[in-house]
Amino acid sequence: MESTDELTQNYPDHNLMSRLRELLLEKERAKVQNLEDEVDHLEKEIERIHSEILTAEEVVPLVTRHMGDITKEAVEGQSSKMARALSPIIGEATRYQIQESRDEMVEALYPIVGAAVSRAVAEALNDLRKRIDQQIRPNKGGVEVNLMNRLRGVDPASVAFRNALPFQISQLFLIQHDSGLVLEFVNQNTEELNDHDLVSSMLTAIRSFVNDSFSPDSNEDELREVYFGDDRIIIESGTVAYAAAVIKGVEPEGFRAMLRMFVTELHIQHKESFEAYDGDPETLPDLQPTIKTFIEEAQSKKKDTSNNLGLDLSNEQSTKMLRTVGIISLLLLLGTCAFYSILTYRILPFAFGQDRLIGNNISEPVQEVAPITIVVTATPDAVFQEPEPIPSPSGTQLELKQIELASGKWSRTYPDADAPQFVAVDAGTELKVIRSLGSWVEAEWTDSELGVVKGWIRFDWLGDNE
Amino acid sequence: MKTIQKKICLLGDFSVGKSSLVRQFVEGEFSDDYLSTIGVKISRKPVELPENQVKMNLLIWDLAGGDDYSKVTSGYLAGAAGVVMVCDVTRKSTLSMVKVYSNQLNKIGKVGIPAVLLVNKFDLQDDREIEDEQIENISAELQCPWHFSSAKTGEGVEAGFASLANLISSKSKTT
Repeated sequence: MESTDELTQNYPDHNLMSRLRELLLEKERAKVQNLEDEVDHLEKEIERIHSEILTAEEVVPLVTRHMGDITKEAVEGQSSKMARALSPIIGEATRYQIQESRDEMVEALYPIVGAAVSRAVAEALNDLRKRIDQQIRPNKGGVEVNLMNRLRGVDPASVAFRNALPFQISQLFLIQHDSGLVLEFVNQNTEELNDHDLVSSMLTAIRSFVNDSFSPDSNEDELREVYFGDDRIIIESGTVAYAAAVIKGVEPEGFRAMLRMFVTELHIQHKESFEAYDGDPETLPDLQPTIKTFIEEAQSKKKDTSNNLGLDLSNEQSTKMLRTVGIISLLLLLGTCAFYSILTYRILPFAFGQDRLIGNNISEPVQEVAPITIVVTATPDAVFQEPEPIPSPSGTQLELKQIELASGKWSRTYPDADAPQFVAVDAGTELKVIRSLGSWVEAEWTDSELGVVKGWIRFDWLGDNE
Repeated sequence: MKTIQKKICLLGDFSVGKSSLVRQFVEGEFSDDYLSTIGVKISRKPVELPENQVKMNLLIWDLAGGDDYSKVTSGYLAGAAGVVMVCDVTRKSTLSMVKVYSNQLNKIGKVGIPAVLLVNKFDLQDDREIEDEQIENISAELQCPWHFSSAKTGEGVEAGFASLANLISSKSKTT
C-alpha cells in the first residue's frame, strides 16, 4: 500500500483534490455531523420518553394527588373563568344527582337550605309582628281589644298567630353606660358564655359609635335594637346603666315597655350602686334573682297571651259573640240617639219659646196665644199645667195686661239668669206678660229695631202695673 | 383572691404598635376587623396583683390612632379606669402626640387618671429618634411612669401593663 507521501509524489493531483475537497466541504461536513448527533440525541430522548410514558391507571393517582392544589390555584387565580367553565357541568351534575339519589342530596343540603329557610322565615315573622304591632297598639286585652283590632282591620287570627310565635330571652345583660362593665348577666342558654364581659364592652362600643356617628348632639336618640342572624338584642337604657336582652323569636306585646319599667325600677332601687361601680362585683347587690324573675314573667306573659287568644279564637263562638255584642251596642246607640232626639224636640218649644223654634218670633202676631205655665222639675222631664193666673210678688193676682219695666234690662232666651241675653229692654217699655215660670215671666213687647219680640224677664224687674 | 374588672384604653398615634402590643399581651380578643370598622378593638387580659390579693381583668380598648377617629375616641374614653399611652421610639412626632392625647383626656374630665407611657419598638435601636431625656421630660409633665417596650420581642410589655394595673389598684384603694 502506498503511503500518503508516496501518493503525493506519484499523483500530485490527488493531493490537491483532497485538499480542495476539505476546504470546500468543511462546513457542510461539520453541519452534517451536528445533525447526525442531534438525531441520535433525539432518538435516545424518544426512547427515554417512551419508556417513561405511564398508562392511564398509572397517571390517575398521580394527578389526583395534585388535583386539590391545581383546582385551588385555578379557582384563586381565575375564579370567574372557572365559574363559567364549571357552572354548566355543576348544574347538570346536580340535576343528575338529584334524580339519582334525591334522599342523599336532601341530607347533604339540609344544613344549608335549613339555615337559609330558617332565616327567611324568621325575617318574615318579624315583619309580620311589626305590621300587626303597628296596627293593634295600644293593647289592653279582652273583648275590647278584639273589637278595636277588628275596627282597625286586623284579623284576630293574625294577632293570635303573632302571639303564638315562640319567644325566649337567651341572655340578659345589665351594663354600666360609659365603661361597658357588666353589672349583672343572666344566661338562659345551655351553652356557657365566658366572654360576656367582652360582649358587653363591644356592645357598648357599638352603641357609642352609633350614637356619636348618627346623633352626636342628642342624648335621646340611641341604638335600641340590634339584629344578628335569627336573634335580636333589645336595648333599654336608664340614666346609669342599660339592659340588653338577647331574644329569640317574637317578643310579647309591650315587652319593650316591660323592659323599660324593669330598668327604671332597678335604677330606683340601686342607682347609687350602679353609679359607684368600679369593677368590684362585691359592691353590687345580687340581681340574679330579680333578673331571672323578670325573664320568667316576660316569657309567661307571652304564654298567657298566646293561651288566651288561643281560647278566644279556637272556634267561631268568639266571632259570633263579638258580632252580637257589636249589634247590641249599635242598637243601644241608635235607641239612645232617638230618645234624646224626641226629648229635645219636645222640650225645646217650652225652653226657647214656640215662636223661636219656628223662626218667626218677631214678625208673627201673638195676641191669640193662650198663656200657659211650665214647671221645670229636677229631671229633664217637663210637666205641663193648665194656664193659671200669674201671682204677683205681693201675692195678689196679676192680670194679663201690659206692665212697665222700672229700668233697662236684658231679656233672656229662656227663664234662667245664665241663659244667653236676647234683646235689651229699655226702661219704660210696655210689656205684655204672656205666662210665668217661677220667678220669670215671658213677655211680649215692641222693639224699635226688631219690631214685636218675645223674651223672658225676671218678675222683680217689673215695675208697678198701670 | 377576688376578681375585679377594669376598663383601660390604649392611646397613641397611628402605627406606633398599639395593636401589636395588645396582641403580645392578651389571651382573648375580638377580630381586628372591628378596629378598622368602628375604631376600637376590645381584648381581655387578667393580671394578678398578689400584693392586693386581687385578680384584675383588664378590658383593653385599643383605640384607632389618627385624626379620623378623634371625635369618636372621646366617647370610648368615658368610663376608663386607666390609659396606656404609646409612642414609637423611631418616630419623634409620636412622642408629641402623647401630649395631644393627654390634653384630650383632660378635656373630657379625666384629669389624674392612672396612666403609663410605653415607648415601643425598642428593638429598633438603630433607627431610634427619641432620647431618654425627652421621654423623662414628657413623663414628668404627664406625671406617669414610662417603660421601653417591644411588641416584637415582648420586652417591657407585661411590665408596662402590670404597672398600670398597680396604679389603678392603688387609686381604687385611696378612693
